[in-house]
Amino acid sequence: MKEKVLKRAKGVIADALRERWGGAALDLHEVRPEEDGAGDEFLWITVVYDGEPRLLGRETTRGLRRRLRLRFEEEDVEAFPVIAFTARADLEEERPAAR
Amino acid sequence: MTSSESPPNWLRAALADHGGRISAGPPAPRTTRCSIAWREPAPTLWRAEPGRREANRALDHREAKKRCERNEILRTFPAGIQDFAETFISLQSKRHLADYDPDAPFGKTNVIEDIDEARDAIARFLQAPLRHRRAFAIYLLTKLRSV
Repeated sequence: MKEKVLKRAKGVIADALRERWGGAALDLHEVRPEEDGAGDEFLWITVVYDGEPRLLGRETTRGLRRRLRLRFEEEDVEAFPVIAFTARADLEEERPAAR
Repeated sequence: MTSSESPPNWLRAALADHGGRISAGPPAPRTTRCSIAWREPAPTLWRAEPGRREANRALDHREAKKRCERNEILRTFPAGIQDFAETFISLQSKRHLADYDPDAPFGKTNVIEDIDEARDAIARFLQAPLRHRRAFAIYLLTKLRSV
């Protein structure tokens, strides 16, 4: 993935997190582009949160991926967003799925 | 899953006849003279539904992922099915990472989230009308040809 495409994608993700959760204790920990064996592009996104996972809400996390895909389409980002929500305490103990 | 459970998954939806014979659980034992197998206890019979095993094995996961990525087609399905397709892609990617990258440990909360997401996607899929679930199953299983 080209650097400027990745930069656009990061901007879209940061905006979407802000819109969804406002000032909640969420950090965009990492955005890592990868290709699978078939050459399809993915963006591995790790979001770190404080507290209980239920605070995020399934409805809201589901909506995030849909929103990202729509915005990616508008911004010509072809990668599929794979999102990992990880508790901060968990991240400190071991590395998350989306490194 | 035990043999007495009868999950109404997409495959059952695709195979169910219009009378919904298997939609409420295992079919009642048949008592035809030609096959002893049909007189076995009911709980195992739904697995023997003609074509079920073949249909189950027909799913090519790589091809299924490609189909699930096609927004122009996916948007013709209800939201619950669109979510199911996106969840399929996301969790398949994580499964590949877990299988093939020894340096990719998964955090506990992360895995719990993913299990929860899978359950939620299946539940929402099952809320979609049967005709859409059936259409989606056919879309995943059959070759697309331009007309």
